[in-house]
Amino acid sequence: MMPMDEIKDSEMIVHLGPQHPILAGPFMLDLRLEGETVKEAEFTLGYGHKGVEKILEDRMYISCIPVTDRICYLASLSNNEVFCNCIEKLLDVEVPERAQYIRVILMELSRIQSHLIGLGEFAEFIGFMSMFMFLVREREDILTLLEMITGARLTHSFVRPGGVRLDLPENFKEKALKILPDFEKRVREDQETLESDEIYIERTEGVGVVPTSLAKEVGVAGPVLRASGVNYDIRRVEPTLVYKDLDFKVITATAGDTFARAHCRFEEIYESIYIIQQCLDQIPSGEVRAKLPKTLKPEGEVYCRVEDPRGEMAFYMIADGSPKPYRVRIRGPAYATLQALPPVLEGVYVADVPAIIGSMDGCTSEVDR
Amino acid sequence: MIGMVVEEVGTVIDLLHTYLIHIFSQYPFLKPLLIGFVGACVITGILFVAGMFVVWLERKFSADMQTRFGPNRVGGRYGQLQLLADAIKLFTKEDLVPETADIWLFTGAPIIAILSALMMAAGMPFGYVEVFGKQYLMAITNMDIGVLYVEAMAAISVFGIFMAGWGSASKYAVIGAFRSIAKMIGYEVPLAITVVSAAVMVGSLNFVDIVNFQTSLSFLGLEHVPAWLLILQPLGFFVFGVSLLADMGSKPFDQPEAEEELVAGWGVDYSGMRWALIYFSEYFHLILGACLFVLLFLGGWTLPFDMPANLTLPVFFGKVLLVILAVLVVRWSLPRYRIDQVQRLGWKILLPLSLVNLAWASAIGVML
Amino acid sequence: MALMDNYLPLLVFFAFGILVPVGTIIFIRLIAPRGEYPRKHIPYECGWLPIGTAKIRFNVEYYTYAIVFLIFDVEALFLYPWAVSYKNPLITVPNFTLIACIEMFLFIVILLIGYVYAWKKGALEWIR
Repeated sequence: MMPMDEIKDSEMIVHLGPQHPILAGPFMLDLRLEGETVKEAEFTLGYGHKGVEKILEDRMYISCIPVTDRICYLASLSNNEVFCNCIEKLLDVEVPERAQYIRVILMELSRIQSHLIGLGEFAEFIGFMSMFMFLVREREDILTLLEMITGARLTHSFVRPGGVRLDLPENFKEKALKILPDFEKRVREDQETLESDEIYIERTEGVGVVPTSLAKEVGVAGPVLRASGVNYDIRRVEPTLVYKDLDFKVITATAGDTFARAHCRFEEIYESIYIIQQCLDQIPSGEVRAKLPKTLKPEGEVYCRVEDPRGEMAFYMIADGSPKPYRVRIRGPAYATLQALPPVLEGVYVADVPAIIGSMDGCTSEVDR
Repeated sequence: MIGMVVEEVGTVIDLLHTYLIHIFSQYPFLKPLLIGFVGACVITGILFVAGMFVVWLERKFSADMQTRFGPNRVGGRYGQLQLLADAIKLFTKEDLVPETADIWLFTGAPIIAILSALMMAAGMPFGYVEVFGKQYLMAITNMDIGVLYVEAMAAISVFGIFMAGWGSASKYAVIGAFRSIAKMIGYEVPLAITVVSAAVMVGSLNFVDIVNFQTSLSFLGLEHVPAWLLILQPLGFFVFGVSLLADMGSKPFDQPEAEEELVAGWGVDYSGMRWALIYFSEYFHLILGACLFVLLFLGGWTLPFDMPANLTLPVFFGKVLLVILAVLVVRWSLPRYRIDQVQRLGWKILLPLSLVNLAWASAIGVML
Repeated sequence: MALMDNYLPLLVFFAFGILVPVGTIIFIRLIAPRGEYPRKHIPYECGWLPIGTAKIRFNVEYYTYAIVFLIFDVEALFLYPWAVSYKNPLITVPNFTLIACIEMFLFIVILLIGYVYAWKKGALEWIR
């Protein structure tokens, strides 16, 4: 940011954050404004630092899993998954196929609920309070399903090295197949309500365009990247679990504006529902957890990644044969995505700032870890 | 027995009446002063109670729209006394003034906001009351320039908002203050022109004349067709409705206080009772705006057939309640415009439409 | 007489409208608690110290609108006396209604030309 004495007398510096209604987690965004126009934006992260990486070094592998939940509560199952994935690779364990399907179901369910919250917040940021409430209402169904499987609604700690904690409950398939079509119908209705709204279209189309070059340069991830026209999805590029056996589209858009990002999220919800339905059809019976020693003592270095609701979530783990990890490095998607904010925010109206931040769906908790 | 008592009371009232007429003829300025004083007390009281009711209604209604419960603890299942609890809380909060604030502007803003609402109420008639065979117009004044006066008073409130924003000298507040001016520039002209169109059709700016005009008309052999301006000039109804929403600062047009970017806009540094005064004045404007709407476009206190004079007040307030509910539906089902889009809407859509409506109104007005 | 009937109550209302908020503010100054903590009086800026002042020469991006607004608001004011008098039966000029209407249409047409000119010139745009 420019020093104060170089700023024109018609400009002012406004802090947006750390305590601001649009920020679910704290970060500071300094805006240099001239009238209603943002001239320059600069942001500071680190207000929610939890020291997760350090905490992980000091725990047994199995007790690390609840900590990975807390990296971002909306994506806790993906974080569980990628952490356990690291251990499995190091120990060279084959996860039973039924457990792989269950993990896919869990990850897609958590993707749906995360997207619903993200879209709801985005709608609220352009002033559409009711849409937030509607989408949160739809999300209840998904949380019910997750609660049936894992017993928890937010921090599940359900994935274990070598499988999952428990098998699916008995009537899960019938219940899910009953809930999901109805759920999809209601979300489609909400999408119709939102995207047919003139004001919504005016507020979002052409606003906050992330060009493909910028997206590749700063490494934005997930739906934000795909909305900018890059066909990149870890589920397709480097499929883990049973993703290679499943049929799904990678949703992309070319516009790269806030409308496209929200649209991509909606479409991904439907794709996830389709994936879950396939999983429920194809899921074999059998064990849900591979036999592993009581104390895990993996050794070596490994880098694993999965497609988290926000994009590429990766763990780099060094294990030295002791019961605790030697070093874990987390590479989250939201940090990279938020790097696109300052260039995109230049020259937009103040009123567009929340819309753009909302459409990025950056989770500060995960950024700061 | 009862008849005798009524007669006695009637005699006393007659005596009082004669006495008052005598006094008033000696001191002609006393009567309007008395009307003003009593009216001010009554209207202030009614406005505050109605404002609280509308706040409660909005909270319950929006909760219903969003599948929430809304207030449901204080005073019973429906949270009837929630607003009373809120008022007690606000009264006992610390009176904070930011150190950068211009104390006169900061204090003046709530005064202007309340003043604007009260002065608006003073210009409007609300119906008739019939006591002992005499009909009294329920209005503080019955000016020939009533419509112009009310509109002018409504426009004053923007000064209050600007003073609040500029006076508190917080950056969000300053941006919000300038937005309020921008918004006013956007919708004020269409609003004024549609009001003129209503006046053109009637040929008067007096509210009573306008309402009487709208009672009924015969059309193609049909009797009792409501002659509401809503039907006679639908375009004007649309433009006036949108502009009035903007005037009230209702949802698609609440840019000055946009919570998501400006936290609370011009009101960000107001707290406690100072904030409550401005907040209430916004609800007064909602109620009085609905009154204005009913008077100009929905036939005021009349229905398209004859009815007793004492029914006029319930009819009027019933219509006002309906308009308020309509505003709440709009408010909770739309996102917010950006401020430059408000300008575009006002200048490139509403203004041409209002001019078309003016031409239509004067053509019809000549024919009627 | 009628003047006094109609406008004296407004004076009372004016006094009331000032007294109610002023009274409330004085009342709360008497009963409200007060704490000594200077940081409470810093203007709100998302929990951070403000950089620079807010009272700047604010860039009013809508000033062209404001200029056009002045013209059109005055025009709207001119319409008011016309609106109440163009079919007034007390005016005995022959064909007064027709003449008044034509005059007003001419007035509006001239303004419309100005409006179209302003639009074409880009005055009805938000200047960034």
